[in-house]
Amino acid sequence: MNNDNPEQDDPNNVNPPSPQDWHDRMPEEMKSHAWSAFAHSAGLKPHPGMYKGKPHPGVPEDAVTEADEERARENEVE
Amino acid sequence: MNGPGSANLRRKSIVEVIREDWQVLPFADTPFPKRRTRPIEHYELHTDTSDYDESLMYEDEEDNWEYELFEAAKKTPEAIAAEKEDLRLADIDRKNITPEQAAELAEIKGRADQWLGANPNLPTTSAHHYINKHAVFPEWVKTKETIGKHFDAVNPKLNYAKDAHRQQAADVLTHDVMRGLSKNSSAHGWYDRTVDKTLHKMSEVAPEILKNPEDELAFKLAVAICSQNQEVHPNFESGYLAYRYWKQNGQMPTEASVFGGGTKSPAMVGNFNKINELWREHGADGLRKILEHPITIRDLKEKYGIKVGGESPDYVVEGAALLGPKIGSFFNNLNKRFHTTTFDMWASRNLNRLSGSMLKFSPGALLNDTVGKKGPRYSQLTKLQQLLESGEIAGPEAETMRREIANLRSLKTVDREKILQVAPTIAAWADREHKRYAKGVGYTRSYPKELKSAATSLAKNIDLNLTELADAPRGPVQRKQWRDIFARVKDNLAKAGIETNQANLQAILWFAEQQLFQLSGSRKKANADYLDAAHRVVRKIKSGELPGLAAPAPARQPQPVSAAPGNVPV
Repeated sequence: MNNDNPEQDDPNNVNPPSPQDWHDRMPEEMKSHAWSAFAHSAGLKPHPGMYKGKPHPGVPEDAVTEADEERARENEVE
Repeated sequence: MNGPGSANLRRKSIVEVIREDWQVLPFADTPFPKRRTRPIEHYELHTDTSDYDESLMYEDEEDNWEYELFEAAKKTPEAIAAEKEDLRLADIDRKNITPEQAAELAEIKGRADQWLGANPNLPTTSAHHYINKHAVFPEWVKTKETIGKHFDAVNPKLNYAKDAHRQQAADVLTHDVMRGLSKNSSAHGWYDRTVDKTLHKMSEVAPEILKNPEDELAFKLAVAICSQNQEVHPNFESGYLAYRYWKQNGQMPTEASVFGGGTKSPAMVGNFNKINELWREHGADGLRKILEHPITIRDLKEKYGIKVGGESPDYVVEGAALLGPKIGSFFNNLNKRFHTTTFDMWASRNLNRLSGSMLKFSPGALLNDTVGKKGPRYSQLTKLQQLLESGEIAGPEAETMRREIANLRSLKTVDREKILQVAPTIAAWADREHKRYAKGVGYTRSYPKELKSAATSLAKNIDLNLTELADAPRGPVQRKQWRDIFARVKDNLAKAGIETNQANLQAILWFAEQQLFQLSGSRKKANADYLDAAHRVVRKIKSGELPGLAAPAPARQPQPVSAAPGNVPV
């Protein structure tokens, strides 16, 4: 895991994960709950309750991040 | 150290691999293309660069050589000519604006000129300070790393936690935006016009997307979902095929064979499944409402128990972000909701350049073992030592690397230059192994999982630490600070009578930053925009290369995640 507190910057992380990296590793049940949360907040569904499923595993330090992929896609690894 | 079976390929470039396999390519009689300097035909922001130094209009022949060769190897001369014609027609389309739009652009240019007249002093940290030749790069600036080294040395260190420093950065960016608008005000409103023209072009083969709100929603969702990790042309083609499936079947495809999608096709299938479910449950209007509904990160956590990483608590996300933050942002843009800020590589370089912090070097990451809530976190040197001791990294370099680790640990003061002097073998190993991993030599994609190992992952992170630019925000705090800077630029522009949206503002700055990098000879392959892609897709549909909306679907193979070593994609 790159960062104990995902709401703070980690100065020792040379490859910080983006929200997309976080999203890509979100457990499916968490994503599904989040959709229900938005549907509730938009007035379309009852409150889904507090999420009690699998926690987010975090983004490991050896992950290939969105920034890595972008550099590679743009032929930017010199 | 190497992934399974890759040892025989590790020192070969893509060019070498293609040369060896040339005989298997579909047009083996085609002469090997000559090296050339190719004019840049178009950029994502098709700004007229006629008043720039012509030398900026050409890419270094070394830059795109491997990429062009690789691309050319896959296409017939007829296909290349047809694509060139697509670009020409798209450019005519792009420049075809109404008299009202032309008048608005003239008005914007006038306001930018007026502002520049009142603010003639170009800041030395602006991109245009170099673009307009008030300064030149030193001779030794030739790579991204040296660009970073240069600006980290000459630009003042700004701390974006400070209000005054954020304002300083915003004021410099305002100069770059105003100069961009003065040279070519068509950047203003570029994104809006591109969306309009793209949909209009597509309506030649899919007229319902302009007439029926459900078709419009399906098409935009399909294109947005298929954008993940795909370049614009395959993205648009996949999006069209997914929409076509929806049109014929009343739901989005749940098999990647329908639309292709590249390496992220499983994630796309997951998103299409979810869209089908939500559409069935809530209808098109309900689905649209969910996609556009805003919630703060704090509310997601406190009211629903969902922790979202990488963003500050007061940041507002919309439902579409659950498809993926960038997909959501792109979906917003396709719906002309241009408020989201995208921190891509170029925006990150721009803001880090202004604060004199382009290189991401962290001595702590290299040297300091720490203990966090989740246990010990080993430094890069400790991990390297462990891999050397276990024999996972072996060979003639190993002994030298051991010595360099000891020398690094004995340093009293540490900076990047010193480390590169003391540990050249480690730096060279990290550079070489990272490049091999990133380019996926012998495989069909970058960073193939077959090449992932403790050694290649560590090489990547050491190389990023020692030589790479910080190409993304360092975390949620910095992301919030950067958003504030862009908001201040927008305020500055509004005070000058120029109302612009976030997407257009970023596009103008993106173009200036790329020009700046090209001044030092940095590589950059030409990009296309969605209007280019629409012209290509429509031409392919009309010529029968792609199926029309009513035609039966040919089976498409999803792109494999990677191929066996030695196979070259054709």
